[in-house]
Amino acid sequence: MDIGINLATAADSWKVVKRAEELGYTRVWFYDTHMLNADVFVGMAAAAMVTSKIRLGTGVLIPSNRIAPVAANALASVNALAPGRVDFGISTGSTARSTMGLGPVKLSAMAEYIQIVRALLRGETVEWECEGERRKIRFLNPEIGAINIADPIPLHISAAGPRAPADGGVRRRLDRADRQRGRRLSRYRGDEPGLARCRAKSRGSYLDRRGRRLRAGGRRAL
Amino acid sequence: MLAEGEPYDSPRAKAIAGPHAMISLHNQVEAAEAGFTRPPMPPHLLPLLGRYRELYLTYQPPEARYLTNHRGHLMFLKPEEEHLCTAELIAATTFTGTKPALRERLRALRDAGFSHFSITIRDGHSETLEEWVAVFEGV
Repeated sequence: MDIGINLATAADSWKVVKRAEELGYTRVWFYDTHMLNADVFVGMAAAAMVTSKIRLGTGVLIPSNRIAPVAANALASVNALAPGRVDFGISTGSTARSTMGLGPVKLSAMAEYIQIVRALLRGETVEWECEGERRKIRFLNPEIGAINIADPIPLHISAAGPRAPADGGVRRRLDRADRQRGRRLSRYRGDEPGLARCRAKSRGSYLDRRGRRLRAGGRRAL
Repeated sequence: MLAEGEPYDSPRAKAIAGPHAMISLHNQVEAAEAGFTRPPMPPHLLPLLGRYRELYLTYQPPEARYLTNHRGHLMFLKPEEEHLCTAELIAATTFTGTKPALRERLRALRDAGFSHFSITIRDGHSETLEEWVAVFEGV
């Protein structure tokens, strides 16, 4: 079992991340909660500059916080500072939205967001809806090195909610999108680039004082 | 991680695990007020939930209680909610225990197929990094 840490992102989170790497932690997940904490990508970028092994992930990014092309750009920018060490964690949103009086975004909206971000990170031209119109977009000059889309950025989907992707809905939608593009479904299985995973979170389980689960609420990783 | 004999609601435990425990109350009450359904809490925690709801209804303005409800979320306890962060709540909603107990629970997760486990490092408590390394080493 590999071990990681979760952080309420601060501009100086890099101090904790640096120490975590020295102690052997393999991953850090930065909260994307902009009304409570510092910007997730500022925290990740600063940590990237002082570490060399630990993986840096959005834990988790919320679709409505920034448009999909900007999220893809931010992930690819941190990936330029920490090549191959970046993880794209995402959910429909809990704290980041409830702090503004909003509920989660729809699973279908998250699935479309994921498709756009991942297509951009693959260097593809993708259709993206903005201001009521669908437009074709892509990174125009990724070869100049300002961003890094060559090293894969694995996807992790939070499975903590009551209609979590563990039911397969988001995965089915991603598979369907790939079928439409004529891609092999196996892109989402195994450990190759493009893997879609579901993070299992134990929130939702209640325990007695001896750690025994009182009510099944956690989900196993897919 | 608790020292042997340390209660779940020691000042240190409340500072580190308390913010995580309290969000179960924050979220339950807010969801109920908004008409969303959430998995119910165990019966022994319902009185606590009722007391938090009374506190929640004092937050102003009424149309934006979330501004107070989520202050300090996963970081610190609000002064007015400290008394609601009980040993029972921490025990039931967080991964808190003595080193042997935590190791036992981690082994159970590992055996159930979990491949990754991450802990929340509370701001100002980076010493928990070292504590948890010692826990993981014994799993």
